[in-house]
Formats: sequence, structure tokens, C-alpha cells
Amino acid sequence: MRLEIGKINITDIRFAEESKVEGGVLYVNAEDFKPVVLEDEKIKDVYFDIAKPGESVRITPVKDVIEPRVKVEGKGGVFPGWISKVDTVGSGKTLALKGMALVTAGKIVGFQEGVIDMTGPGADYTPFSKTLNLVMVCEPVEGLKQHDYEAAVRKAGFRVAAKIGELARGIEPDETCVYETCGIKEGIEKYPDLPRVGYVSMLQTQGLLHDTYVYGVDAKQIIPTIMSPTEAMDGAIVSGNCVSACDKNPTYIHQNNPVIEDLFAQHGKTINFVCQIITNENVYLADKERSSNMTAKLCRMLDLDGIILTQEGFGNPDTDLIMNCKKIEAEGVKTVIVTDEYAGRDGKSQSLADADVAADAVVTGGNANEVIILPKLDKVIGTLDYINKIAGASDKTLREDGTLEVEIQVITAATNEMGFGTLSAR
Amino acid sequence: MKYIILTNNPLAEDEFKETHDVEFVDGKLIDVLIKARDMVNCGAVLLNHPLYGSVKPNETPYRSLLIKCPAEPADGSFPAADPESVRLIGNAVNAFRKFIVKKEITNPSLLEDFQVVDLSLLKSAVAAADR
Repeated sequence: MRLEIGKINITDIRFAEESKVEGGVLYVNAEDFKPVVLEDEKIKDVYFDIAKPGESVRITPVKDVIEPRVKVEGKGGVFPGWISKVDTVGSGKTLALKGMALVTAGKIVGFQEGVIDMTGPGADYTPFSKTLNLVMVCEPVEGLKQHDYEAAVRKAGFRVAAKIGELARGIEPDETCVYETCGIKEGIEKYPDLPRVGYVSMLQTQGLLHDTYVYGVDAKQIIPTIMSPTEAMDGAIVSGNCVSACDKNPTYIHQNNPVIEDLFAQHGKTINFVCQIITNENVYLADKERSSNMTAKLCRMLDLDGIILTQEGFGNPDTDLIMNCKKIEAEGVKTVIVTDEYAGRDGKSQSLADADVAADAVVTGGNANEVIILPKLDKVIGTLDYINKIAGASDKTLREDGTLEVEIQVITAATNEMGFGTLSAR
Repeated sequence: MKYIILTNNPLAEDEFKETHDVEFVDGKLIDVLIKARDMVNCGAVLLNHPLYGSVKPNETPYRSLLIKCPAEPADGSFPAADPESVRLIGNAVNAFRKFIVKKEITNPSLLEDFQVVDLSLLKSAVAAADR
């Protein structure tokens, strides 16, 4: 499959009379987008705000981050199963608004959402302090159940992102990147001497408020399957969860998966990037056994020489991670894990909740328990009402001087387990 | 399959007490894990992961576990422990203990949120066990 991503560099977002993309600027009339959100009767009200890199702004509680895109050539449309029909995506041409993100915010459950600081030490930990953010804060109708609210905000985010993406239709991109994978036979003939490498991505699928969707399907219902790595770029995999902010994979990161980017960068040079294999992280132990068995079998049947394995979350998913690693290695397929760590505030504890000798090649996104003091910022988009309650915070979080004492797990994508974070030992 | 639901979540008890075998633990999350560990040591098998939910164990006060009770061996001996269950529950107790236990949560709306999430994750396990 061959997908062209046309990148339109956005250098500013401004509120204006007319919504459009012109000269690298996204102009937004919020009134154009409010009805798109409010068409779901579960959402009582919404407001939009803009947060720019370097501004003294804190966005919280963050639910999802989405990159607006529009499909201009080829089968299907963005966010298949939600916005578009379920045609197989990942080929043709897609335009992406780069340098910006749509951030959805609002209280879903009192403890599971993230923080994005646009300046200060917190900004160093989140990749979304470097994007121009259009923030959408939703308020639910009275008495709405948490999981209904999550679904409403999730879907409203995709509708708004798709409508923003449409503004880019017809615009000449600043840069075009081409991603192309081969069929199995074609790849073997074309790159006979290169190692065959796959990417196994574990999707968060523990239950309501902990789910990921593939073409609209709840991924805890799937058995592992093969995808072209370009499908995720068109929004075939979307986040539907409210797990810890630091290591959840927002939709934006599925669209811009750094593992896929880097494997494509080496495709045809040092490796033959064969495919993405998706699997899940269910709570039921028999499901874990079945899925890891299937994943290992697929790796073997595809004659892979090596894989990169990424997860989402901590605890329960660590068991899937280790099961996958052990079984895939046992098939003779070299496995590299990308994860993060919960090694305690002093960094001295066991990092993962599970382990095995087969897990001998591990890349870490950082220690989520590391403590940081975040300064008081001038403006909050969303609300600080829940800041003491989110994962990684405590009743001492909001201090008298307005500063926050938190573990970095409160910061969106701080220790991202697909390697999208900024922490490094270099 | 015959199993029990071991939980300290009152919402989970209410949801399943009419249809399932529920053993309510009037205690903290760690009490559920330790009770489960005792059962596992006597041959019970865990059906869901004890560290489910990315809510870290020191942040949620609730835990609900599905546990398959062992058949009594005909010769009257003790049933053998399931090694995987022993490993998982041991890791869970260790993971819980390594985190600093924060002040007890008393805010009713936050407690309700924790109960709801715990119940929703329990429901996915029950759905898998009952299919």
C-alpha cells in the first residue's frame, strides 16, 4: 500500500469570522464548530480556546489529542467507522495540518485525565506544548454516566477534527512524505537480504473508559490481526480511554506513531518493514493467553526476523507485554520492547509489574513516578477542580502558593510508550 | 464455569449479588489482594488480572477479582497451586506495596467514580468468563 501524507504547516491559530486555512494560519469561527459538537444531545455546552507554545497556559483535564487530517485521494475517509465508512484506508493521499492539534478537555472521571503546560518545566515533558492547540472543553448534560460522556466527547473530537481537516482540502502541502509497504512475496523479492521486521502494537482494551477502537470496533473483541502501517495514519486506530496521562496513546500519536515513522525511515535500507500487528490488553487472563498465542503465531507465519513491541498503560498490560515478548522470542523472532517505568519516586523499585529473561532488549520512556513541581500559570483552560485527584497527584498537589507537586504521570504523553515523549538519557 | 467474585466495591456487590457468587471484603484494596493470595495458595485460580485498570493500586481503593475455586482432589490431598496465579498475585501485592499509600480518599463523588470504573472493568472480565 502507498500513502502520501501532504503536510500543511500551521504557524498560527486565530479566532475569526470565517473558518479557513490560509497562508499557514488556521482561522476558526467557534460558532461553526459548536453545532458539530452539540449535535450529540449528551453534551450540554462546549467552548473553544487557543493555547500557543510559550504561553502561560495550563490545559487540564485533557482527554484526547487529535491531528486534523483530510483524505483527498484513495479509498475511504478519515476516522473510518466513526466519521467515514469502513473502507480500508491507508492508500492514496491524505493532507495533515502539522504543528497544531485539537485537544479535547473536560471532566470525565475525576482522576484519569492529563495536564498540558504550554510553558515552564512541565512543557518540557509533553510534546503537546510544542503544538498550537485548539482546545475544546465539553460539559455534559446533568446525570450523564461517565462512559456515555467519554463516548460523546470522543466522537465529538473526531467530528470537529474532521471538519477542521476539510478546511485544508484543495490546499497545496508544504511537504509530501510517501509511505509504501510491499506485499509479502514482493517484499522478499525486492529486499532479499534485508531482515524482515514487524511492529506489534498492544492497544489498551481493559473495559469501559479503557478502550481503543479499530475501524469503529472495540479492540477487546478482536483477535490479533495484520494491518498496513499506513492505515493508522488515516485514523483507523483511535483512543477511547481515560488511563494515566503520561502513558496513554492519544489518537494524535496513533496517527503519528513514531515507531512506524522510524521503521519506514529504514524500510528498504536496513530493514524490510513488513506490517503492523495489532493486539489487545484484556483483563481476562484467558484472553491474554489467546491473544499472545495469536500474535506469536502471526510473527512466525510472516517469517519475521524481528519486531518492535509497544504497550499502553501499566500493571495489567505488563503481563500482556511479557507474554507477547516471551512467546514471540520463543518463535525465534527477536523482540525489542518499548515501555515506561513505575519505579517508585526514588527510581529504585521494579519498573514493570511483570518480567522475563526473554525481555532482554528494552527501551524506556522514563519513570512515571518522578516528582516535579509545576509553577502557577496565568491561565487554565478547563478546570483545576480535579487536579488533586488525577493519577499521579495527591491531596498535597495544589500547594498554597499555587504551584503543583505531581508525579510526571499527570503530564500528557510524558513517558509515552510508543516513544513519542521527550525524555532521554542523552 | 463456577467462580466467585471477590470484591470490596459495594457497587460491584450490588450489581452481581443476585446473579453471581459474590464474596464481599469489608476492607481495603490490599485486603482483597491478600485474601486472593491466600485462596491462590490453596489452589484457587485467578481469572482476571489483579492489576487491571491503569488506575494505580494506591490510587483506587477498590479491587474486584474473579477466582475459580479448585476441585477437591478425590484422595483428600490439598489441591496444587496454579503457578501463574501465584506469580501474578505475588507481583500485584509487591506492586501495591512499592507505591506510597496516600491519604484515604473520602470525597464521595470521587469514590463513586472509582467504583464505577472498577465495576466497568469487572464487567468486561465477567462477560469473558460467562461467554
